[in-house]
Amino acid sequence: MSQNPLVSIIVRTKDRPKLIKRALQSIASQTYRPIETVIVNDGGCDIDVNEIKTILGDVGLNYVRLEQNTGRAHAGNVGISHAQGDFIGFLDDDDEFCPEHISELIGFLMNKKADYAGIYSDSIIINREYNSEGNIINETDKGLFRSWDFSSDILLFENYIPLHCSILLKSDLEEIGGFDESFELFEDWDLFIRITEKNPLYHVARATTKYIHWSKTEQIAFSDMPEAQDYYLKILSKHLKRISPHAIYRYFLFKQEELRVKQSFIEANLSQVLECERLRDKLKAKEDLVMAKLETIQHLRAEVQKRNTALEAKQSEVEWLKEEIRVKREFIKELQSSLGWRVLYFYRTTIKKRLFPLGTRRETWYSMFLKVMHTASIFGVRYTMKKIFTKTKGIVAARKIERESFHMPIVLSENVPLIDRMVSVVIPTKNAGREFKNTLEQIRSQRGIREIELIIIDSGSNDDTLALSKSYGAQVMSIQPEAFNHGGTRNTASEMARGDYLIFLSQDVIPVSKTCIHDILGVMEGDGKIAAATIKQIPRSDADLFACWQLWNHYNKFLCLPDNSIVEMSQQDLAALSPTEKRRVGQLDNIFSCIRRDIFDTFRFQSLSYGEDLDLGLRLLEKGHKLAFLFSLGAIHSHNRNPAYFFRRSYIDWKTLISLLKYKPKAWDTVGIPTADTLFQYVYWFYCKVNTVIREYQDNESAQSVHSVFEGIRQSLKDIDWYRAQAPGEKSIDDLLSRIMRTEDMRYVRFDGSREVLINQYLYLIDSFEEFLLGYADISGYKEEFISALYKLFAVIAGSTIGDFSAYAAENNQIDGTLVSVHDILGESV
Amino acid sequence: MKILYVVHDFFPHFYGGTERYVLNLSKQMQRMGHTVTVLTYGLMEPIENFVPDPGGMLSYHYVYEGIPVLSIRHRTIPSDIGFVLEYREVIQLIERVFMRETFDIMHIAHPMRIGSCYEAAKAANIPVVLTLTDFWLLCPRGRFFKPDYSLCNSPERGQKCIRDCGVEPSILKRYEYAQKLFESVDVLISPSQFLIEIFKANGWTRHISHVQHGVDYRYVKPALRAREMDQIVFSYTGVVGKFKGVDLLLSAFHQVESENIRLKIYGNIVFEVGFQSDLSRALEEDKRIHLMSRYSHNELPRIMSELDMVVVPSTTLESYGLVVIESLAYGVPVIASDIVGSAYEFIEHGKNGLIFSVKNPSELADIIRQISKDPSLIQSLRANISPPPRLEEEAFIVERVYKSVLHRSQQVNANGEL
Repeated sequence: MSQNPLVSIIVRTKDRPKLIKRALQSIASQTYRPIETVIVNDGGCDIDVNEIKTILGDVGLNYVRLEQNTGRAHAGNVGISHAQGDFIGFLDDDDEFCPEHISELIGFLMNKKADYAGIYSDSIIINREYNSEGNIINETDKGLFRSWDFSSDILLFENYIPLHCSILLKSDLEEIGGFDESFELFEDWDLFIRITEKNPLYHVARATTKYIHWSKTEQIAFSDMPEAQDYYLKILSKHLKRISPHAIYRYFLFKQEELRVKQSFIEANLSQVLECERLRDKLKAKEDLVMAKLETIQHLRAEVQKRNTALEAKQSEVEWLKEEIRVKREFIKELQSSLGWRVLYFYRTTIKKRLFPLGTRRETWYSMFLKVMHTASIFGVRYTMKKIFTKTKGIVAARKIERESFHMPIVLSENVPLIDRMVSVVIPTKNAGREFKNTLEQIRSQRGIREIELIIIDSGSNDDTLALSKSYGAQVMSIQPEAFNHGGTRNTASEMARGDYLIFLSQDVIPVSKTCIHDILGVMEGDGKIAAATIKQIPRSDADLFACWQLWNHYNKFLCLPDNSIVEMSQQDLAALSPTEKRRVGQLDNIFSCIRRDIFDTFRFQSLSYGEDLDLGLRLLEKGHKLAFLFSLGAIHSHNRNPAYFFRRSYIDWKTLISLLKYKPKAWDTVGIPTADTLFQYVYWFYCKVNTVIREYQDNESAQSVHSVFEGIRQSLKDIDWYRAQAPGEKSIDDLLSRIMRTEDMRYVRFDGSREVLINQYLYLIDSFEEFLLGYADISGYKEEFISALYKLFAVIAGSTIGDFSAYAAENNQIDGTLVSVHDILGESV
Repeated sequence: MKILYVVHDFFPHFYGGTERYVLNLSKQMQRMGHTVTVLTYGLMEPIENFVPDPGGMLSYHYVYEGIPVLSIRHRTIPSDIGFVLEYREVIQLIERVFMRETFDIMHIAHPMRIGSCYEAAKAANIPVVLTLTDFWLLCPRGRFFKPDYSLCNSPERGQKCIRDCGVEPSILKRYEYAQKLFESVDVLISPSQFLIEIFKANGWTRHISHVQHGVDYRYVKPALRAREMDQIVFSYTGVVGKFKGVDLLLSAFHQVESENIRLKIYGNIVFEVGFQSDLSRALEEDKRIHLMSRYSHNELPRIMSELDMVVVPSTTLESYGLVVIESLAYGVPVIASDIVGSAYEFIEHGKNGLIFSVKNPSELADIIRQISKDPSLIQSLRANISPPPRLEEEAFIVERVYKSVLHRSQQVNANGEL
């Protein structure tokens, strides 16, 4: 045999003229020579032999064309019979050799051919995509195809040797008769079993060939063939004698090991798989978050756009206003340069100034004259005269209020001269709570009075109020809860009193100082005409901002009385006072009031639910008695209640005041609110505005001065358009309004700016609240209380508005079921 | 009214009795509709917070719980800042403040460090009210005690301070200035009659109005002790120091060999020579004594619910003793020494509390022993406790003081009576 023996490569082909070229090119690319290619065309279409020769180059070609398709096994045998070489390899027309395939295998086989029936190497699986011209458009390396060492036992059960990886001896092939032509499938497997009956095949653990997978539809995949099972069984049947128990056991162990390896691989990769899944989930979550953020950004962009648009609109408005101002300035300039103006100016600055100097009575009368002329020109002479008459009466009457103010010295000692009087302290109670002890203690600690008796009238306490009262030596009487009435109940209790003076006290009031009662009596004893006295309420240390403001506003903005004053006036003068002025002079306060017993027996309280103290004060004044307002003396009393309470209280108070003081309700139909439903809708809509203003304040986290906070609130109230106003807001008001609004639809009615009845009232209260809060450097630590106060201010306005409307409706015989039911809701016990 | 409160220290760095007094009063005045500002000396405030004032001092504005505070200090804090009364630079700084901002009243709660600002108020025709919260005007140590912790009965215009306490001779000048301040302010207030008597005894006879401190009842909850009386818990709350009589209390407690008593000590320990070691030894030797941590006012309801009696064992003059009225507000009986000002006004010995003499320290041990043998005494004391005055009362009376001072037609006589 020559040094390099001839190797024949048998290529079986059928109808793959394009693919075979790659196979042949891989043969031509072999580093080994000499090679012969035996192409067996198994009944397929003609191929261009010249082209083949060109491809093969110096590789010999032996082309055999079978006229009909005889099957793979027969084609293989034809190839063996035509092969010239001593060594035979096989290559299917869709697979390929690596360049070193033949040289690698032949080198070994030439030395060891006596011990081995042949040699085989490994193959790489390549997934390949071709276009219609047969060009590769995509290729993926899928790894080795079963790189197993030779085992005749395993070979009996699995065909693990690709035919194109092997090189066999021609003599051995001829000896075994070549391929078994009864096998259409697995003919190579059968060949390997027979050819290795005596000697094994040698395995070169190197990939020297390519196993090309390129089409599921055209490429034959044996596992997909329905007859695969049959040929498998045929293999087993044919070689049954060789299948020994040892072989079976060997194969079992082999598969077990294969499975174990696969399991280990899976386990090793499982954690990575799980990690990948976790990372995937995390990535998904991040993606969702990013999407959400993107949506938020979109929304914010839209909001910014909207605000920019609004800003532009405002800027345009500013420009327009600037232009207006410029035009008006020019107009004014023109006006001022006119003769008429100069004459008028001369008159006002020179003649008028001399005739009616500012601050003089002449000037006041002159101004009044001008005002009268102006009123008459609009409303007519008759109306004007009537108004003049009423106002004059009021002014004259107010001037007749004798208000003697005096300074009360501070008594800081408990050793005061004894006032030889008995005082009956009357306290209506109901579940007075644990702080009632402080009230009782302070009453019992009073100095300078001969005797103080304590009378408790209780309307259904179920705590220890009664026991506590008795422990302080009080006389206790009980009434039914439904029988309670502020005026009537106090009258009932007074019947038990033996004192020369009656002091009416609320259960949660604590008089300041142990000489409080002594000091009051000291004033009253000094002037026998003083029928009753009242003292100042002081906020508790736990009073919230609204409670503190309420008291401050009452004493500093409404009453505006000096620290201590005594009031006296005639009936006629009292009748001529305006309702507000009447309230100022007559406001006895049953939080803490002191009345002479003999006077009280004559007058007594009216059986009113509210306002019984104001009513008594006015009646006392009417009959020529004096009232003392002793604000140098104080009683600790305040409450922190929810906004709904103030809604109700304001409604009741206003209705009471209208009734007692004859306030004139607003003519609601002239301001575009003719019905109760319209009013409730309006109140609800205004609530939405206030609520939106408060939310905007809440969202503004930056620290601001008190003044800037209020400026912001005022501006927001003006700026908030009808469509931005929204509820819900504060729970107690939400609940109350939901009971007042009969239908859900009523909540969605909006009003334009033409009926801004409530906003001015609200702004008025806001101004007062701001004035009070200017004493606080910083309200950021009181944010909750501040927000609650804003709601309470609304509640006060809303309640009095509905009360006012109710009075207006009563005057005009327009009380309907709606108003009656609202009265029941708002009139619930406060 | 615009009120300027002047106090030597203030929150957040200092939170003692005088500071609490000013904070409570300020807040209640705000509730009553007045505008308040607190002027203080920023002893512990970080210097980087301050800005220079034209006069060479430093100032810092901040807000504490809604109260605006003006904190001032020297660039370099003088070593005698706790001793000297008169600082011209302070007066000049406040004069500049008054040029920018007006006040109706200046109320000095403690004259240490910045008390001389009263001169600026007088120059601006702003009435000045001075509350005497301790004896600092008479005694630079504030509590009339010598270095050996024995009581001093009179400074003798400063001579005794030089002799017995080794104070600089400048004390004489200080005494004069203190007296000048005392005589110059429009109204003097004292929370206790005890303090008034001490001043009178030293010849400072100008009228001092007696206005008791009040308790902020907002935080007071009834101290309902649910546990059995098998263990009686005594407590000390406040600055833990020898000048407060804590050593006396430890010694007295140690003398009572009873297993049913415990002593809890709440508060910050101050440095005093020998005291820390005495305290450590006492804790080590007597496991019935527990050193608790500093407490905040919010914790008082819980603390008071765990106590049976509070001890105020001051061995140096205590002008008032806020802890006495706070304890009584919670319904906890008090054992106090006879040099605690508020004890005289709120404790009736044997009825609602107990008083012992500092001259006879064994009395405290006797009291503790008696209670340990008969715990029912506590209940009988508790039942007779009357609620002490309220903050609202104090504020209302102080407001009346302000109004009286402002009342131009009111004749304020030379003695300063209202």
